[in-house]
Amino acid sequence: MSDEFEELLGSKEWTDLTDDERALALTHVQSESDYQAMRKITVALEGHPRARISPDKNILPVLKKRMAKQPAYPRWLVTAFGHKMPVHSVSTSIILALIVGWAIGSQQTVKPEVHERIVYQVDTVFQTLPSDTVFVSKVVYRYIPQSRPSRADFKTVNQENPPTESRGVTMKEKEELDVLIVSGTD
Amino acid sequence: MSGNRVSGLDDETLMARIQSGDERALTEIYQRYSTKMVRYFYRMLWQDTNKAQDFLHDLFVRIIEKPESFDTRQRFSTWIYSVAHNMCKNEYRKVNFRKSVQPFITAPVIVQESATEQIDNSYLQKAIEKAMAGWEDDDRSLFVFRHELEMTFGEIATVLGCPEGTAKSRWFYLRKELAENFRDFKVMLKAI
Repeated sequence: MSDEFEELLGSKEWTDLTDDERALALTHVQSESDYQAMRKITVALEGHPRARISPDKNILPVLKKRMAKQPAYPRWLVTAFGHKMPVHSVSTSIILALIVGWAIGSQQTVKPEVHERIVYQVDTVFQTLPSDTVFVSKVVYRYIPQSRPSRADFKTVNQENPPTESRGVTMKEKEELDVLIVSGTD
Repeated sequence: MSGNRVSGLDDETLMARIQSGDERALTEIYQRYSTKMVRYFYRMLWQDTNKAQDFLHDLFVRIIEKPESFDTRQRFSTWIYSVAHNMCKNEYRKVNFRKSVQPFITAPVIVQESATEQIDNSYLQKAIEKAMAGWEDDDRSLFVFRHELEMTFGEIATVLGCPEGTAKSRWFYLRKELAENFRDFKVMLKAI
């Protein structure tokens, strides 16, 4: 139902309609007689008397008395998170929150003290990959995987009584070694 | 707070004040809506004046006692009509209206036309009211909202809980149905 058709119904007889208006009317009703019947009802409804009744004068005073008996609550109490809520709901929620908070607070125990002790331990480090080839400018280490030396490969040396077959490096050998390290040749 | 300040407030603010027990807010909202609502009840409840007054009283009691039932996201006017509409539906259920359809009590018809036209219109009005008595609850509400309270289709649709287009087409088909029923009304009267 278009607003234009509605306006036509309320204002014009079929004979007063233009061709365009008739075409529009016929999209809503099937014939001229349908249009006239609809128009008659529309006009009759427009002239239909409104209800002539007014509110009873005693109602408002009664309502005021009733309101005076009604407990009034501050606005914040009936508004939670921007939505109005029943007063009893808000009050119950607040009381519940207080009870739960108190219960949690009373059940909380003192945290046990924890003693921490840091122990430093020095272990034995074995150097399993001795340097191989030495160059003048840099030292290149070649990785040769070796099995971990067994206990049998080591000898216990008594520092106080060194074995007679052991001997240190002589000065000459030391010089040769130094030359070898510097030159990098055999 | 002066009365002028209250009268300048919108309905939703007045409702918030009613929750706080503000009597002036109640008076203001009563003055704004009581006439419309009593007329709505009068039309919907078989033009029974006492029942209409009772329902008006009950409606405002509900506003006083359960103001929190008003959803602030809605417009107050739409909400109050929805409440009134539901009250009428409950009343229909209670009295089992369908089984004892009573004709609308005819309101006095004032016409300023010729004697023949006056008779015709008067009878037509009565006949329309009788026909309306047999309508569905929502259709009768639609008529009262549109005709009596001059509400927009948008507002009516919100109150009745249907799309606006549905309310419009329903209004059209109601009148079409009436037109079908009373197509020969004038002819019959002339024959008499």
